[in-house]
Amino acid sequence: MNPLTLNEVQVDEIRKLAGDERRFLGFVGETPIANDIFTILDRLDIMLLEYPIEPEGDRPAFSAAIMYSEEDDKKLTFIGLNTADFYDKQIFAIAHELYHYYTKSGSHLSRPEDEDNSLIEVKANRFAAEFLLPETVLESIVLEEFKTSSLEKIQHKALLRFIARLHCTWWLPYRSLVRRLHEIGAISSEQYTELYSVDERDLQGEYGKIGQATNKEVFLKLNQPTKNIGTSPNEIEIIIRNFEDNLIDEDKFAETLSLFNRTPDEFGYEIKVSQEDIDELDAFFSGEDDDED
Amino acid sequence: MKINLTHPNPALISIIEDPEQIITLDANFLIAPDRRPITKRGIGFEQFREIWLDPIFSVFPNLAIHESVYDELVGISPQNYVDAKRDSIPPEIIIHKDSSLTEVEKILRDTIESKIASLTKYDPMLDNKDDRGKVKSLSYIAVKGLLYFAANDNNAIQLIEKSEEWSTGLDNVQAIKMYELIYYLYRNDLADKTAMKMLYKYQYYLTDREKSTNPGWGDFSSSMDSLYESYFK
Repeated sequence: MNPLTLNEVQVDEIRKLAGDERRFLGFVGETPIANDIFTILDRLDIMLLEYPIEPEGDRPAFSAAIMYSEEDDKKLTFIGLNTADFYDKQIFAIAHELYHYYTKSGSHLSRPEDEDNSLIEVKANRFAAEFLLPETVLESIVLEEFKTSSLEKIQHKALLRFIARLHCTWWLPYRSLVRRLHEIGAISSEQYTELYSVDERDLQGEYGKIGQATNKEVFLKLNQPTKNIGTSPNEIEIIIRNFEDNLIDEDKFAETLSLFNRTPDEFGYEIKVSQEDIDELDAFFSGEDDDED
Repeated sequence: MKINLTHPNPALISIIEDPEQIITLDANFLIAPDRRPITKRGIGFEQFREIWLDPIFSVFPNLAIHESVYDELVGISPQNYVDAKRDSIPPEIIIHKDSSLTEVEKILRDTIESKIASLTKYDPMLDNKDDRGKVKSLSYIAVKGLLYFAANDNNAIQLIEKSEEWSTGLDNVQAIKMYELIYYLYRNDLADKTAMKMLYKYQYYLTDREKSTNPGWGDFSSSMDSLYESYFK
């Protein structure tokens, strides 16, 4: 486990913050956020920029980063998301960045290694877990499922099946779920160590098979990098409106959309040139080979 | 780019009346247009020089560029062209240099630059390449009281035309668009007429959308005649 642990007051503050923000966004009780995390960003006016960045050698790539920019009196917030990461980790990473957004604990494109900042990262991770699956909800699920709050006597395989169900419903990564179960005292330190050592990404391994048997479609989705290149629909809409308002021309429109792997055709703006015109211009401008650059 | 024929452009009228005034050019006036992939080919530089650059440099004796626009031309054909113009005696192009600004002008330039830069991709703190030429050019000519900036870039034109709304500090600068000079050359028989029609078509009347918003050459030419005929001697 991370050597930095949060005290009761800190945990309580995070729990309250996550609960308040969940309620404000309309997620009451046992309602999973899961894929709705992307809609939440739109609602909070946070611009999402997705790009897959593979790790270089031993240097792990970042998961996500929050950036702020101020223009006149308007503050713009961006979250850059590394889509080369597993999908469930992408969701967790966004929730982690939301902690920085809510607490204004700043941009952490580069993550300073000093203790204060590490503590902030631990808090952000705890917030992400609490935001995606509140502790009270997890306790209630455990109690309802096993009729006891302690899972110390539950067999390893049964725990894996339970975690797989939580995983496919709440879209929280396996390791975060294991940590959560330990945080609420449902599993012992020994169980925690044993569960934490499972290679959860091995689809042919024990957990991988259980996960696929639980909900193959969702489980496979959560265990794959999406490698999306794009931005949220709201930002694409801004590009389209700039074009519709003649602030950018067709060439710039196509060029800007191409940065996000989109084309004007997808939005009903096919750029069409008649063959007759192409031939006419070709005939006139065919006097020489291109010589630029 | 949308062709605007609703009102005469005072800048073009002034140039019609006195073509010897200083006109500062944006880089895209010197770089051959290339609309690939929607067309089969871009226009080659030699042909662009022949149909466009030679005529405008011959007709307007005081064309200028800012040194940052010159930097954008490094390694491409227009640089040799500009070098030859700069090195001829007397020079056939004016290069605006920031070193000619006084201390007071530099302060004013920095103020205008920061206002414009927030509306472009240029960041004065980073001095990045994106939009550097047009930001540097516009702030220089605004400070020096030079009036005309010729561009074929919608963003540059809007920085000037919406100067009041966007508070860009460019209130005294006026934009001249490429299509206005295409018309000027055509109207006065100062360039190959077919080439001017083709250049117009390539730049403004090619896609279905452009054909629905911009006039074809005949309508364009006659509308421009209506707007400017009385100003030609």
